[in-house]
Amino acid sequence: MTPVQDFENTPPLKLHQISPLFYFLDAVKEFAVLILIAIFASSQNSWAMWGAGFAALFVIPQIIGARFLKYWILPDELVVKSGIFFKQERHIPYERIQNINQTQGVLHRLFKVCKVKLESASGTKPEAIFNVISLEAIEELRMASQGKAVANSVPQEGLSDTTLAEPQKSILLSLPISEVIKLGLINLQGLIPIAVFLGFISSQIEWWEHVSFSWLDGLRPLLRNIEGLEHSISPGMLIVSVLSLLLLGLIVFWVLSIAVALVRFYQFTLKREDEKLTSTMGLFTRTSASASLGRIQKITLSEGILHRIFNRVGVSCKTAGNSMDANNFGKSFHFLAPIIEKEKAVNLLNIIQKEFDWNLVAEDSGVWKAIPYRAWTRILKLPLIITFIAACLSAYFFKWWALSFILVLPLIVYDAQRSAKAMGYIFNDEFIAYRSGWISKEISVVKIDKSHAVAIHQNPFDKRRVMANFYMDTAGVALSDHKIKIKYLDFSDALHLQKRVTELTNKQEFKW
Amino acid sequence: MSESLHDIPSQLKNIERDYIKVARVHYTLIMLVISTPLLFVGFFQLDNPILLIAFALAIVFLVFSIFFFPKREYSHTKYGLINDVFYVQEGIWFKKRTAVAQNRIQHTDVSQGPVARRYDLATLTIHTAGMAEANIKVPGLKHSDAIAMRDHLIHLNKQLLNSKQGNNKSAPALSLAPDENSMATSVLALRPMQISNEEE
Repeated sequence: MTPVQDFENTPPLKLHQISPLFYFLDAVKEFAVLILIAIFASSQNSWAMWGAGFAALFVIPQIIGARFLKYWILPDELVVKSGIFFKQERHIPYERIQNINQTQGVLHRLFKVCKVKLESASGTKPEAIFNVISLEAIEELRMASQGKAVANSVPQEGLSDTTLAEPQKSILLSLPISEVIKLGLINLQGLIPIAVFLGFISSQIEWWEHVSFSWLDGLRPLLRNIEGLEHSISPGMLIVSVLSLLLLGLIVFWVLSIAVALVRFYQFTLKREDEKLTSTMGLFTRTSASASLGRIQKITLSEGILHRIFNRVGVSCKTAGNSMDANNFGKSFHFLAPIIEKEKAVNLLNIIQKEFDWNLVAEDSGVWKAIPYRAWTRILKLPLIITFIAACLSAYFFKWWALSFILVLPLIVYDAQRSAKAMGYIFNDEFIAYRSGWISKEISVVKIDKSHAVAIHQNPFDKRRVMANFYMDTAGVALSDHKIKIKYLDFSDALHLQKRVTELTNKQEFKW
Repeated sequence: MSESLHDIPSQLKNIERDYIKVARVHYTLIMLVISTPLLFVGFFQLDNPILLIAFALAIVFLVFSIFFFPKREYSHTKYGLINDVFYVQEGIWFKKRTAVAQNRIQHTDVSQGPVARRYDLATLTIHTAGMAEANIKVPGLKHSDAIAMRDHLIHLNKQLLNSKQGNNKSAPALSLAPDENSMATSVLALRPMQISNEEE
């Protein structure tokens, strides 16, 4: 028996009474495909029934475990006790909590509860998940962690005049519906519902075949008519009808992606409260994620062709702590502005990171340093090899027609040259920025004090062209992210950058 | 003008020469695993030209792993602490030079494998809070050197910590006596940032 600790004298807080329902629903979601198969499939697919049963079985220990979860909101830390046989007691000091993310679906709203995820900087796993607690409890938790943060910032700022002022609350950005619709047009995420639908269809071919055959039976007389029509249709008509069919498909796709954008980003707001940023969004499921201003590790601006048509840009950021979680999308703090006018983006970023002037990061600021233009021959290599292989393969099937691949060559040369021109960086004492891409452009900005290790890579090709690859490591950045990884730098420039960055970081303390 | 990482004149130090022997054992073991099937199949069917090539390939693998890679890896691995920045340079064809500002080091490890222990060598690992380059390894250091380097890095961190606190508090005492007999010693270098920024 462990001795009773002080905090255990106070009554513990527990998960909301309704939480077993949400555990069950989560499990249902997890096994959704299996369960759907079980419902739709005929009796010979009894294994699917087993799957559904398994899902139910899976939930029971979770529900029992949830009843054993207790937590205490103490003045400077959160204590979570869990486990039935293997007890676990976690002490989470508030300053270690990087982000508080809450999710609230339709059902959550009905019961006035929400799911909460606490993230620390360690990155791989959320520090604690409460599924589900009441809104009052989350408010208390928020107040406790913020109170601690405010108390911390007072001596740090030094001067009491500014820090003792009223907590600064302001809405930095709220997207009207028209903007969210534009976001849908730009993001082109209509594929998600289509993929889900196709995935669902393909998971139960038998049932689908049954349905589609009866459908086809109904269509048969119609088809016969079309067969007859075939002779009377002119080629022009055929082209028009094919084109209009394609157009229809595109419109459906666009409508779907607008729907996806509305579901995810409806009423997106970015609020600032002292040094804390909170973003809220969602139509059915409202998610709210927060992170403190100083803990933003990296900011990325991205701009595709469609962004340019609407004069918009997307702004996202990385905080330490949300990197490795696979399904963090929308739940962790990620978007500063999913869509924003270019001019406004600069203003917004000037508020969020006011240490330097964000006008410098604009494309035409004149401070961008290009990578050596001769890099285009390096960029050309990979598409050239791919084209060559494709040409060889098609030569096997189409004989001399494969020579038409020569027509592609000017295109890939043009692309390589434009890509080389598009790549560039800014380096000064405050921040380092890297931009790349000419069709869809991306710019990543990291403040120098957020840098960790700095590596220069040089492969045999680099060596031959006296080039190197410069990489600045930052916390919380995933492999696939756009980051400060400057390829094809002049070797001497890369060495100089490495030396300067480490000199500067040695002077500046790392702050989470 | 220097064109590659290997050519630039620097104050970086070479690792111990004995590392060649350690690497030789390591590479041979790895290459044996890869080439045993090739050797086996190739040897019993020397009349088959394809398998003969496989056999020859396996022999080449083994020769490279004994005579080529270890020496190259030794001569291409360098490290050093210059102006409070720790540098590690490595890689035969794919070269890499990693630099960590001293105040970004979270903690350091010294570890020793069974082969390395025979030659009194150890690997120094430097951990940062970053992602892709979070663990930086320097193999082939003399065990005592690795411990000394580790202590030096911690000492620097402590100095920094003291200066941050205005020297009126001494840094929390850590027992830093190197335990020479332990195979792996790990000491947490207290991060100055924890003290300077968040607390109090």
